[in-house]
Amino acid sequence: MVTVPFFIRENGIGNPGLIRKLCIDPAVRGEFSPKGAKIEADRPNNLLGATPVAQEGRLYVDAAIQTERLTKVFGSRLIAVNDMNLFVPKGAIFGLLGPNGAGKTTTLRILLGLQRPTAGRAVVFGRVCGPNAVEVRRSIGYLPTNPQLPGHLRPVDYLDLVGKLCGLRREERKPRIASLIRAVGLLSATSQKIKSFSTGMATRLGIAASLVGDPPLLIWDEPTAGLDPAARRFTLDLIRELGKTRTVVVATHILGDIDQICDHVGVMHEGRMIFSGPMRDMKRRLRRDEFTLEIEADDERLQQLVGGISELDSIVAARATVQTVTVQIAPEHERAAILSEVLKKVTEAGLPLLSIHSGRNETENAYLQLLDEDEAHGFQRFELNSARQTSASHRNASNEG
Amino acid sequence: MDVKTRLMSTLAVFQHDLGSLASSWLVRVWLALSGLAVLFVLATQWRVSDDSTLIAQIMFFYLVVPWFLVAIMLGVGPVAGNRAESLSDGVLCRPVTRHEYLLASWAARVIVVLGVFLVVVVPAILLVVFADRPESLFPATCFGILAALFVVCLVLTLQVSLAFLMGTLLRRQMVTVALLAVGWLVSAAVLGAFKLEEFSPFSLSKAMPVLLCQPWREEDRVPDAIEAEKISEMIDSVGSWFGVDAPPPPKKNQYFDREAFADISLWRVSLGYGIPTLLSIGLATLVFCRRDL
Repeated sequence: MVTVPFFIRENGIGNPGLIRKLCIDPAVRGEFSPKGAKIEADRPNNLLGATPVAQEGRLYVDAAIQTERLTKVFGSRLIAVNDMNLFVPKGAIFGLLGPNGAGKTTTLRILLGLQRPTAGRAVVFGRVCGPNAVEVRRSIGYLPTNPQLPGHLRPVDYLDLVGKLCGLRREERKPRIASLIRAVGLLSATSQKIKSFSTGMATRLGIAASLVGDPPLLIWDEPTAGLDPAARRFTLDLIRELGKTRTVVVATHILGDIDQICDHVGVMHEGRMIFSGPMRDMKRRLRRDEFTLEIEADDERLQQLVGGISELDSIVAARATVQTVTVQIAPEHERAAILSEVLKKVTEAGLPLLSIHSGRNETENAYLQLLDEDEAHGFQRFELNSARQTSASHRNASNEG
Repeated sequence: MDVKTRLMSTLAVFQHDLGSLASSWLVRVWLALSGLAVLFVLATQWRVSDDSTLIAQIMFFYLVVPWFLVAIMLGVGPVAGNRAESLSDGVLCRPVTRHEYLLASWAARVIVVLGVFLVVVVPAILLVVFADRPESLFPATCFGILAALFVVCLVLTLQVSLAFLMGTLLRRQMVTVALLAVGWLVSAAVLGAFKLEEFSPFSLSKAMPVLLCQPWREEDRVPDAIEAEKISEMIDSVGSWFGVDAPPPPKKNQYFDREAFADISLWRVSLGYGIPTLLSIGLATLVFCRRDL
């Protein structure tokens, strides 16, 4: 561990220029604490590491996006984002998951400066987001849900307009537009007006528009909404491909999409970030103590098998449907050994085993489990927050003293 | 980033809005109806009105009714209404500042409104001035015509700017148009009752013939118009003693009031409409830059 002492503004997240200067050595990756005034080096790269949620008052050098206690309240009535800390590592394909109304779109709009936070702040590549943060938006390619495009224009005219908005010169703009039109498969539709486009075509044009400025960060809000299977496949493949060279944030409530393409995930619920970290961490949270065996047998023989399995220690077996048996193993037991005993019983009964699987889709289970846990916390959430705020105010008071 | 690149995004918004407005059905229909209205005035008043009154009648439609409604509809901000908000999101999520977007959008609206006005009115004025018409008792001067065009342009700019401000504040297109239309008519009528041409377009339209007769310099002023009218009546009566029939005098238009507005000042009128215009743009920018989209 190398500790480099330095000073940064107490009220701010630090001077990005200074931080970059201090971090010439690529091995220096880590966190900055205004109070602690130190850099912790030799930390694992956040992209690969498991440092899920940004801590209060700290800046991760490798962050593409970081929010600190971000809060958005609409008209003193609707709390859309509630004290949210988000950390998106550079180079990640980050899935922002959450049910409808969880606050995903509001968060993204705050990052783009389309909305102002009520409290807290959002930082993109070290720059604070806001309505006039042009440089922040220059680094972001945004695709809204079901993009509303100017219907009277043709796709080339629209992309040309976006290119001009991004400040691209003609000699740079024209070839890029041509290649993007080809890349999103709209070459045959260049003579059509946008108002005649299907949802899929409009989404593809929106994707091309988000890429015109060649930004290092892509923020796509429900990019697969309303797409047919082929268009959805195209979009997911494109995200995977783009994720090799830039940071991609995909907000969605479609778990299958996240499961296929994302390496990092954040789960929002009622405006709060209830989980953020690598995908594998999320899947690890899943309790996989329940297995389902699909067996071809008549009722009587299946019932005998269930009875036989139930005789085993630390197992609860039951018939789920006509041909399936669920086996639940007590958590403290070795699952592989017990499963082999179960399979031995099936073999002894002379019944053909059609399939064996562990519950539902892993990501879906983990996601639903997170939502359940968050619901169950109830009042405890408030107490945790209050305790945190109290300790922070005590800390501030002691520092001021 | 250099100024050229910086301006590129502002110009792009301006060109896009200009193109969208110019190709909209509202502008096309307005252009056609404006042309027809001017033709109607020329056809019916060609022989009975003098130059300045005829030009003032052409401008009546833009100062009083009904075209203020169209100017308001076109001016209602680019962020009023759901579709407009979505489209503005598409621009403002790119590297464009809010004031750049707002000013470019406002400029496009003003240019379209003034463009329609000038395209229709200028050829009509040229026709009135250069056509072989009976000698006019109140001929329009070059300065007067330019001043009148400038003043009407200023009023139209104020209408667009007020609509822009209200659209930014209220965000509901139809509510904004209805409120503004009622407010505009009521305030113009009330201020018009006090003959305040600096604030009321109704009064301004009544004062228009006086403004159209104003010269470049005070020394060039022809005998006072009222005096000229009296002299003309005297000559007619002398002619009738000798049995000479004078040509029938032009029909006096009761709407235009030369006596009440004889002291009209271009400066006062410019300030009267210019300051609220600047305030509207400033306030709209302030509100838009501080609010959520």
